[in-house]
Amino acid sequence: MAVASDGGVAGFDIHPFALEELVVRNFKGIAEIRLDFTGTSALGGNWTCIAGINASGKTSILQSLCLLLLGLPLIPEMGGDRLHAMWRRTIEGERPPELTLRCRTGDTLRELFLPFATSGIDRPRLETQADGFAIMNAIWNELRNHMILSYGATRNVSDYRDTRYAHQSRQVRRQMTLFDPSAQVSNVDVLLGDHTDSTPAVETFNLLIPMLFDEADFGKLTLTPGEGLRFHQQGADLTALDLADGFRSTFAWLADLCTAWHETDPERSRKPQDITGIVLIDEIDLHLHATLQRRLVPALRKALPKVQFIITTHSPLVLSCFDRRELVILDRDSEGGIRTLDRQLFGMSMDDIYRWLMDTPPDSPVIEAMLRDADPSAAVLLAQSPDTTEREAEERVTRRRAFLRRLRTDDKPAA
Amino acid sequence: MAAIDEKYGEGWKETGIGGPSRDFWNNPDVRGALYAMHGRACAYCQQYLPENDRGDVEHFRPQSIYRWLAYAFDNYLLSCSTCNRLHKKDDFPRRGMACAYVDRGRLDQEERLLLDPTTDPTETWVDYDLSDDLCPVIPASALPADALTQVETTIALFKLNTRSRLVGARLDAIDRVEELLRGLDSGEERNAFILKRLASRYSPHAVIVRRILARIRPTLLPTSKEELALLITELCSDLDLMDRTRPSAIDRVRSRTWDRMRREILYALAVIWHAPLGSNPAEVEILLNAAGIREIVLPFRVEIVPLSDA
Ligand SMILES: [Zn+2]
Repeated sequence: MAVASDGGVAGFDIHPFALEELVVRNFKGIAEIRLDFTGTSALGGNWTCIAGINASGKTSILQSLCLLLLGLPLIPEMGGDRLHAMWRRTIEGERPPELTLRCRTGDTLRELFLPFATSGIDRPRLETQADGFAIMNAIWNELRNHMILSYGATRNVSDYRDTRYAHQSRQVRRQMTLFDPSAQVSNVDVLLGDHTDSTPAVETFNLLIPMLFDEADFGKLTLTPGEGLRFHQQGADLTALDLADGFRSTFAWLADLCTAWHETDPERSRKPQDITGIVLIDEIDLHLHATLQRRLVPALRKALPKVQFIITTHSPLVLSCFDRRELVILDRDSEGGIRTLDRQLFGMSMDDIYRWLMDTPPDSPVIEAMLRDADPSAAVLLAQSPDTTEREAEERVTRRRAFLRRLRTDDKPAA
Repeated sequence: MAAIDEKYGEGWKETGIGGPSRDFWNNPDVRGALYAMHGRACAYCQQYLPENDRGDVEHFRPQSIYRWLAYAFDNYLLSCSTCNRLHKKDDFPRRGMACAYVDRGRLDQEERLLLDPTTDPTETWVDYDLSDDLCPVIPASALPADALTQVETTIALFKLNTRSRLVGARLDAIDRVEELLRGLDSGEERNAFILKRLASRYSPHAVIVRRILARIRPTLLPTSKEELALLITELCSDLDLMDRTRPSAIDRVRSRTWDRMRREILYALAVIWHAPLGSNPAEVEILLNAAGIREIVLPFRVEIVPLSDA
């Protein structure tokens, strides 16, 4: 690599670009955590799924990652107040975050570093890194043309025009739902039909959707440039806004992805399999029906094999779609804040995953409250199951009661 | 475990600095020995530990407080993840200070408030209130004050009467016994064998099953020797099942898990062979021979006890 005299770096190609390791220090509630993204599996694609036991900072991790990818040139658009709110507050006072990302650019492993200061990012400290600073800037400049997308846990579509972030560059605007729960997914115009030059994005979207969903999920669906999304259900002609929440928020990020992919170059391949980039999604299972929670990730692995996904989830249905090496289980009680998995989840039942991984016993709080009060009617409730009706349960309890009475009276053992 | 003492010495136990850093307690020999002691049931709540929640190797005295006992086999138990992670965590209720390494000779004088499932006569200290539809665990009558406190603390800490799954499973065990006895009375001879197996100390929820049988059909209670034979049969059939479901070598992850679980079973059988509770090594050897696995278990037996001792 040549470092030019003006500090810029000439002839720099970062592709293929992949995240390898993230180190977060003093970011919001996180003192220090280290995440590895290189865990591969035979399942295809490049995925990392972050799950948390207790309030463990899943969103903070995605935010740190996103900031590191935007870098020095774009972060100021976020606003100083927002950056200052990310400092870690302890009883001894405030501590500025320090974020580090190791990433692979072509064949070389490189490091991006972001120290915070009162003014935002500690630029003087970065500048002391000489060559390192030039290289980081070169990577950040290249990343502006790379598809980087973040979706927060409240992403949604509505026809309300949110103009608060209109001054931002598109690359930053696309990340805002991760930082502001009231922000909107940026490129939903294509779904709503307000975008005139969206032809390539629409074509890609129309190829992508059948790879992920069945027609049975929402009826026949058509997306036409300038007209938006239409689907037909029980004889009615409906728009994107009429979709169930889970579909709408999933379609929103998928439409945004297709638009972002073609934005820098409309002539790019329409094939979903050719799309490259990095996608961060907070709570991928958001509002999705259980069947879809189970299907979505395996379908995305096939449809978008060249996109690196870093996602979070609360859903054991989603967790069971991952190899243990792709899972990052945040757990404050484990060493380093991460629980290492020594077994696979694929064969486990949802109950097993809740109990074993999320430390949530699958017990019913209603029955537990009755048990604490020693309420005997809990016995009938406990006896009910998918193959025992309430009436059968009552009979069972009656039979048990008679048996136990016999036990108490038969003091002399019967031979 | 002996190798750990050889390698690291005793110094770290006193200072709490250095010592082994890995979780050797998850090695197959440790788990195997625990299966040989408890079967596949949680030492605290007696729930069955299926393949998916194989349970944790639990430190009875938590290593966060008793670092010097982190690698002491006597301090290990097999526990379900609910008991270990949700209820016990790093707690060790006691009066007074935790016993330090320098006072190790007086460990048994420590005023612990929990039952020790391996050394306390748990079965004679707990009872079940059979006049209650929920059959809660209660302390046995006329217990000495210390034992009473330990039983009460244990019931409260592990929520033995308020976890819905656990209470449900215990009631299921009672219903199963009722059903099997009813069948037995109408001529289902095979039920006697099933009841013996349910009442074996290595079976889940065996304490309540034994309590019931002791009252109305004490002849069905298995002897220690029968219990051991049942455990060996169960381990042998687990082994047989595993050998018939061996994953292909290309699937490295599953192969490794398979191999580890198979070794655990073989260590369990080796431990039983070496020191059978209520039986003798020669009898165990006959059973292993009959199952056709004596030769497979032998190297494991030699490994845990070098031939000169055997
Ligand atoms: Zn348990």
